Formats: sequence, structure tokens, C-alpha cells
Amino acid sequence: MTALLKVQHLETYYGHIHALKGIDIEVRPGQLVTIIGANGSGKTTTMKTLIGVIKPKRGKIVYDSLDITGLSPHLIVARGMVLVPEGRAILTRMTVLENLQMGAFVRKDESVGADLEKMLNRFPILRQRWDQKAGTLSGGQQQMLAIARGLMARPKLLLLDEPSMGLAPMVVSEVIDIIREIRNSGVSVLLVEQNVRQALAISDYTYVLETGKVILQGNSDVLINDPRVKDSYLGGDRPYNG
Amino acid sequence: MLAEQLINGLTLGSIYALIAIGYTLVFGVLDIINMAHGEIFMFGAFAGMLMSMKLGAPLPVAFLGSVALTAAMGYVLELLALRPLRRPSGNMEGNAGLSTLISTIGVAIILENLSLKLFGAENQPFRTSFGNVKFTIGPVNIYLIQIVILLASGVLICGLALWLKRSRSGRALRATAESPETAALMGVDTKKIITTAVVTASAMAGTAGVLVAMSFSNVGTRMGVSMGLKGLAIIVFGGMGSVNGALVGGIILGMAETLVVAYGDSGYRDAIAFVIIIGVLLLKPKGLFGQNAS
Ligand SMILES: Nc1ncnc2c1ncn2[C@@H]1O[C@H](COP(=O)(O)OP(=O)(O)O)[C@@H](O)[C@H]1O
Ligand SMILES: [Mg+2]
Repeated sequence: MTALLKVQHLETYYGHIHALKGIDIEVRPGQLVTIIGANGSGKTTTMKTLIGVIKPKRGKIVYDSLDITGLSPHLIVARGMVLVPEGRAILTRMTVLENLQMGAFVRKDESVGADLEKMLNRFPILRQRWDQKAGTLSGGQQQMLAIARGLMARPKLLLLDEPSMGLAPMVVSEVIDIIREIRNSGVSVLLVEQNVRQALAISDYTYVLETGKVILQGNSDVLINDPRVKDSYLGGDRPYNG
Repeated sequence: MLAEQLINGLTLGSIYALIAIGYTLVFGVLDIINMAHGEIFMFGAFAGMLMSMKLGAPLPVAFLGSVALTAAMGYVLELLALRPLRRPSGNMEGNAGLSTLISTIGVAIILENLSLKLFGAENQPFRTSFGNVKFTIGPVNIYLIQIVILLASGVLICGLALWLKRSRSGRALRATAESPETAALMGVDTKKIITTAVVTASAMAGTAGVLVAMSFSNVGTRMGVSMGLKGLAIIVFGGMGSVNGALVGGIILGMAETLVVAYGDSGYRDAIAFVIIIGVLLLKPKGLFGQNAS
């Protein structure tokens, strides 16, 4: 099967800082692919370069059989690749409903209303507070809103950058469940996560990033038992139990 | 006569509000004060006067011509003075905001010099057929021009507020105002939205220019600076980036000025207004409707 996303030798700079030093990543249709790596290894830069917020210096991004390298984000989003960014980026001055409507900004089809209804059913807390400013939601609720808003675009490929950042363990599990649910609904997902154990448990394939390079990759069920992953990202050899 | 003074104050205040909302729209999406806003207002006033007096255009035509000219000026301002200084994704980082601010000051100076060359330093009369038409309701006199101003600014402000609140593109503008990067991630073409904001703001300034010119029956190149400063004061007073703040702030300032002139010492006209503004800022540093930075 041809890849939905194929990234070839991507290089990104911040001024003189060489943040991505040639990254190759592939996501096939229906796959859930995880990127892990220490702080500052280039995970967020990868996501931002993919969605077009940052322009790469070299390399090629092919999405849905189209070379999207260097395109502006609004053109990429319109083609069905959507990023739920690190730190959630909720529009705090707008209401919960308006945030969801903004998620569907690129859509012109008739079923936006029905999807809105679906989203409010899936996330009852959002229905409860639909008319309130999104800035008044708790961190966990904002993350739900950010994911729901991303889904409102009806993405083919959803990029999630550390969706569990700063959340209580209970909420983290909820977020992980939701990601699995999204994948099961047929949406391909590229996930950046710090909760390595849980991320690997639900994903098909994993890339390990270190200082702007992919240093390790493979099927998640294999990598989860890889000693290098265990030592660096799973806190030694504690037994795996989620 | 209090009722008359209140009408005068409301009329003046609605002009101030039109100007201030223009500042607010641009500040919202770009985080800068457009220092050329007052000059665009002045060009609008001159364009209306010249088309009407020199070319003999009917007032509605002169009005629309002036709105078209100032909208075009906004477009050129964005294209040549603002956009080249921004980062590609539309977000302002580091010094981009400061250099854009300086750039608008440059445009303001160019427009001021140009206006002196084109229009001369003297004030010029703007006589309209209905300049002195007034209605008397009991003891209260209302001038037709006041009704025109109140109607025009009322329709414009309500229309703008509705557009911002309810429409898809209005939501996109508010999203861009809060975070250009987030708006872009939602699929918003922020470049287009920013252009829309600058053009709309300039057209509103042009409208206000013609209304002021008609109501004072003359135009001068100095009117840009003084109106520009008042508009600035109002958005600081009302809360930067807040449309409600610009509206309420404009009306309060218009009322205060009018009442001070009517019942106090007209020498303190501008001073009193600024005393009120400073007072409010002491109590609410972010202005009446100020939003905390998020
Ligand atoms: N806006 C920026 N300006 C300069 N350097 C940056 C910027 N953002 C990230 N970096 C640098 O790029 C590298 C990768 O950062 P990032 O992609 O945020 O890592 P991660 O998401 O894996 O924690 C780091 O060394 C970081 O310091
Ligand atoms: Mg990161």
C-alpha cells in the first residue's frame, strides 16, 4: 500500500540552529505511528514542519500523493492533514462552540452540524459548557476540546503533539483511549508522546528521535521490548504493565 | 438644553467610535497601532469634499468614492508597508511588531506631506445641500447631518459587530486576533484575514472622514493628527483590541467633550476627556474592556 505521508530527508533550521538533520518518516493509511524522544530532540519541530508552520530547508513531504513541501498551513489543512499542537492552542477568548466551529473552518459540506452534534455527544463536558469561553476550561477539558476541534476538520491524517502533556494520570488514560478510538474510526494518526509505554502499546510503528535524527525505528510491539528503548524511555527494566 | 447636548455628544462619540474600531481591528490581528489611520481618515474627508465640491458628484457618490479610495489606501498600506515586514506565516515575533509600527509612522508622514502638496495648508469649506437642514421636535433641534451620522455609524458598527460575532470569516478574524498560528492551523488564510482587517478599518476611517467633513462643513490637513490621537486614547481607554471598548470609549469621550463645552469651560475640553481616561486607567490598567494577555 502506498504511504499516506512520506517524509524524505527533512531538514529544518531555526536561524543557525539545525533542529532537524534529515528525517525520514512514513505513515500508511489507517496506521497509528508514534514519535518518541527526549525534550528538545525535534518532535515538535517535525510536526510544525509537516503542517507548514515552519518551512524546511531541505527534504520533501509527500502527503496523499501530493508534494506539500513549503505549502502554507491553510492549504495543507484543507487537504485533510490537521495538527493538534503542543500546549493545545485553545482559542481562549472564543466559546467552546466557536472553537469547534473553527475546527471545521475548511469544510464546506453539509454535515458539519451533524459532526458537531457527534462531538458534543462524545465529549459531554463540552456540551455542558458549549457557551462558555474556552479559557475557563480545565487543562484536561481543553485537551478534549483541542482533539475534538481537530476532528471537526474531518482529517485523513491527524497529528497529535503531546496530547497528554501536563494532565493527571486518569486523564492521560482517557486521552490514550480517545486516540485509539480515532484510529479505529479509520483516521491515520501521527502521535508525539512522552508517555512512551502507553503510546507504544496502542501504536503500530514507532520512531525514536534524538537531536534531530531518527536513531531507531520499528514495529511498536518490537520496540517496546528493545533494551535501548527500555533503558532510555521506559525507566530501566520495570516490567511492562501500562 | 440637555437633550440637544446629549445628541451632540452621541454624534461626536459615534464618529470617535468609528475611528477607534478601525484602530482596534488592526491592533487585534497585527498587535500594532496603525499610525497612518488618522491620515487615511483625513484623505477620506478630502476625497469626499473634492468629489462633491469640485467634481459636482452627488453626495452618495462622493461618499462611496471616498470609501473606495480609503479602502484602496488600506490595501496598499498592507501590501507595501506591513506585509513585507511580517514573517511568512503571519505571526509577529521579535522586532517584527516594532518595525511594522515604525513603518506605519513612515506612511503617516508621507501621507501628511502628500496632503499638504495636494490640498494645501488652508482649511477648505465643504458645503452640502443639507448642511443647515434641521428638525425641531418640541424644544429640541436635530440637524439632518446628525441623523445621517448616527444612522451611518450605527449601521456600520452593528454590521461589523454582527459580522465578527456570527459569520465564518468574522470568527476567523477573531481567531487570528487571538493567535495567527492557531488560526492558520484551523485552515485560515491569515494573510487574507489581515488584509481584510486593514482594508475594513481604512474604509471605516474614510467614512468617518466624510461624516466629520460634512458635520463641520470644512476640511483641513490637520484633522488627521488630532483625530488619530483621540482614536488612540480611546482604544487605550476602552481596552486594546476590544471592539466594545472602542465603541463605549468613543461615546464616553464624545459625551464628555460635548458636556464640558456646554456646561463647563470649553478651554478644558480636551483636558477633561484625558482626565477621565487617566482616571479609568488608574483603576483598570487594561482599560474598560481590557483582556488579559493569554
Ligand atoms: N522557536 C525556536 N527557536 C530556536 N530554537 C528552537 C525553537 N523551537 C525549538 N528550538 C530548538 O530546536 C530543537 C528541537 O526542539 P523541539 O522540536 O521543540 O523539541 P521537542 O518537541 O522534541 O521537545 C531544540 O534544540 C530547541 O531548543
Ligand atoms: Mg515538543
